[in-house]
Amino acid sequence: MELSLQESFDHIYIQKESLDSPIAKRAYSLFDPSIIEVVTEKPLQEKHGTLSTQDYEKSKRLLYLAPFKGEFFKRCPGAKPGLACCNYFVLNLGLQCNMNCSYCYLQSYINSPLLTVYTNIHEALLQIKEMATLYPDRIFRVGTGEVTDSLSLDDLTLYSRDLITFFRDLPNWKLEFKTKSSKVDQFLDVPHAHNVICSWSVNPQNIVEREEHLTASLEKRLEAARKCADKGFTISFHIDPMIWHPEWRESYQQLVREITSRFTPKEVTYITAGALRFQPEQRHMMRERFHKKLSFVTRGEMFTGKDGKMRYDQAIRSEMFDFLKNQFKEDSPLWRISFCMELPETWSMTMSSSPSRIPELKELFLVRKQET
Amino acid sequence: MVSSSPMKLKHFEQKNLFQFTPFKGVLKIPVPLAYQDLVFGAEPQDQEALDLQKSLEEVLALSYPGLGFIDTLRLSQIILTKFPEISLEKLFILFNFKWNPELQKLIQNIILIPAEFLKWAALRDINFTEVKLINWGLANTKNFKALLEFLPRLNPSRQIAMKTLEYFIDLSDPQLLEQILKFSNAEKLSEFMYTKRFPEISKRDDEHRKKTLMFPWPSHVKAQWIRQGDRSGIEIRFIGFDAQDLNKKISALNNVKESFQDKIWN
Repeated sequence: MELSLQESFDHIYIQKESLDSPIAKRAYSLFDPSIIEVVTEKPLQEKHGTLSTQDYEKSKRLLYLAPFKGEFFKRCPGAKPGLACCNYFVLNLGLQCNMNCSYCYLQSYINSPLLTVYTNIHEALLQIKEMATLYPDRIFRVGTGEVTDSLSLDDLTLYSRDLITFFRDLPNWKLEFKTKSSKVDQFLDVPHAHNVICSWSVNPQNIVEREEHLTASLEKRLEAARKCADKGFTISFHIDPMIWHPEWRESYQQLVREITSRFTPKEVTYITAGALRFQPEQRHMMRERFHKKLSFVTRGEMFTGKDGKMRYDQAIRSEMFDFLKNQFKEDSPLWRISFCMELPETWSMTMSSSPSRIPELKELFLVRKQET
Repeated sequence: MVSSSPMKLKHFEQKNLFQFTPFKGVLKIPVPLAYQDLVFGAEPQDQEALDLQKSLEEVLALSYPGLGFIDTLRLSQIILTKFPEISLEKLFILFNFKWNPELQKLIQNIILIPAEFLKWAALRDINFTEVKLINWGLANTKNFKALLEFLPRLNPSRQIAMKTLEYFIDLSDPQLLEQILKFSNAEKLSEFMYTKRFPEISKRDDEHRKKTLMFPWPSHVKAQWIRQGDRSGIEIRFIGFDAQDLNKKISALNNVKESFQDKIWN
C-alpha cells in the first residue's frame, strides 16, 4: 500500500543552502520539525559506497534535500549499442525511491545512504531552455522517473506543477511522468500544452502485492490515470517488468482487461512492455530483502544475456510478449505496443519490425534518426 | 614479506593462545608467528616462532593473500573474541576491505560454518560475497548446515559448490537434502540442482534435446541442442572436405530444413 508522505520518512536532512527553497519550506510545513535537521555537509558520509542490505533499507526512510551539482540531463539507459530502445532524455530530480519493488534496479545502482531530492529544479529548467534554444526544430522527450518515482513525492515537491507550466512554452517537447503512485490531484488543475505524458508502470494486482511494495494498487493507479485522461493529459502504460509466474497468462490477461475496459486506444498514446531483467550481482540483495516474501523475482528462472543482465529465456520472453500483444490486439487492433530494453532478436520475433520502423512509434525515434 | 621484517626466533615460553592452523595450504608464512606474548600458526610439535616486531595487523596484512580470506576471517574471529584491544578495522583496511557491519557479522558468524566446509572454502579461495551468501543461508535456510557438512565430501569445484548452495537457498525446500545426500559425484549433483532450480527451462531444453536427437539429420551432420545464457538452439557441425563436398552437404541439409519448425521447435 502506498504510504502517506508523513509515514514515509524517519528523518529529514536539509542542506543549509537549500533552506530557502520552496521544497524545504514545504517540508517544514508538512513534517514534524523534530525530525528535520539542517546540515552543512552531506550526512552519513562514512556509509557511502556499496551499501549493506540494512543501509539500503534505511536509505529509503532518510530524506535529504540538497541542490544537485552536475548535469541534470542524462540519455535513457536503454540507448546502448545492441539494445533497441526509444529516444528519451532523463531528467533526474532526485535519487532513490520511497517505494520498494523487489526487482528495482536501484538496488545495484544506489551507493548513497539517503533518499535525495534536488532542490534546484530551476537550474534544470534553465538547462532545458538552453537545449530548446540550441535545437528549436527538434522534438525531445524528457522523463523524470528513472532513478526516482516521478510522482510518489510530488505532494512534497510539487515539481509536476513547475514542469507542466514550463513545458507549456515548449509545445514540441514531451514531458513524461513515470510512476507507480496514485498522487495526481496536486497538478490536475494546471493548464498544459497537451505535451505531458502521464505514464503508469503497471502489473497485475497479484504481482503488485507480491513484488511492488509500498506502491499504489493497480486499481488506484488506473483511477489516477483516468483522472489525468479526463483532464486532457496524454496517458501511457508501461507493463514492465513482466514477471513470469505459474499463472502469468491469467494475470496478464486480467491486466489487459483492466486497461482495455477503462481506456480506449485513442486515450492511451502507447503501451510499452519489458520482461524482468537485472544485473547479476543484484540477486544477492534481492534475495536478502525479498526471498522470504515469496518473491517470484528471486525464484525466477533467469540466465545471463548477451548484455550481461539476467533475463528470462528468450523463448519465454517472446511467448510473454506475443501473448500480451495478442491480448491487446484482440480487444482492438488500434492499441500501440512496443517492447523496451529488448535485444533486436526479440523485437524481430515478436513484432514485424524494430521500434524505429513501426509507424505509430516513429515519432519517438525522430531525435535519434536526426542524430545519426 | 615476513622474512624481510626485523624478527628473531622466540622460544615457546609465551602462551600459545591462538591455536590457529590455517586451512589454506600455500602459505607465505613459513613458520609460526609470535607477536608480543601471542603465538599463532603453530602446530603442537612446533618449538619456535618468529618474533614479530611490527604490529599484528601489519603482519597479517603482509601475509595476505597467503593467509586467504577464510583464514583471515577465522583468525579475526579469535582476535575478536580473545583480544578485543587489537584493531580488526585496521587489519581489514590494510587488506583493502571496506570495514563495515556486514564484515563484522561475517567474522562473528564464521564459527557457525562447519570446520570441514571452512577448510574446503579456504583452499578454494571463497570470497566475501560467497561467505555472505553462506552466512545468509545458515541463518535463513533449513538444513543448510547439513548441506555445508556434506558438500566437501564431494570435493566440488568452487563454481559447482557455490551454485549448489545458491540453488538450495533459492529453492527453500528442506526435503531436498535427503536427495542430495545420495549423490557421490559433484557434477551429477550440480545437474540435479540445475533441474530443480530451473524446472521450466530444463523441461523445455530436455524436450528440444530429444527432438534434436530424433531429427533425421543427414549422416554427415552432428547436431545437438545447446544453451547459451538466455538463449538456446541447435549447434550443427560438419566438415566440408572440398568445395564440392561442402555444397553436397549443404544441399543435404537444405533437403530437411522444411521440417525444422515442425519437428524441433513445435
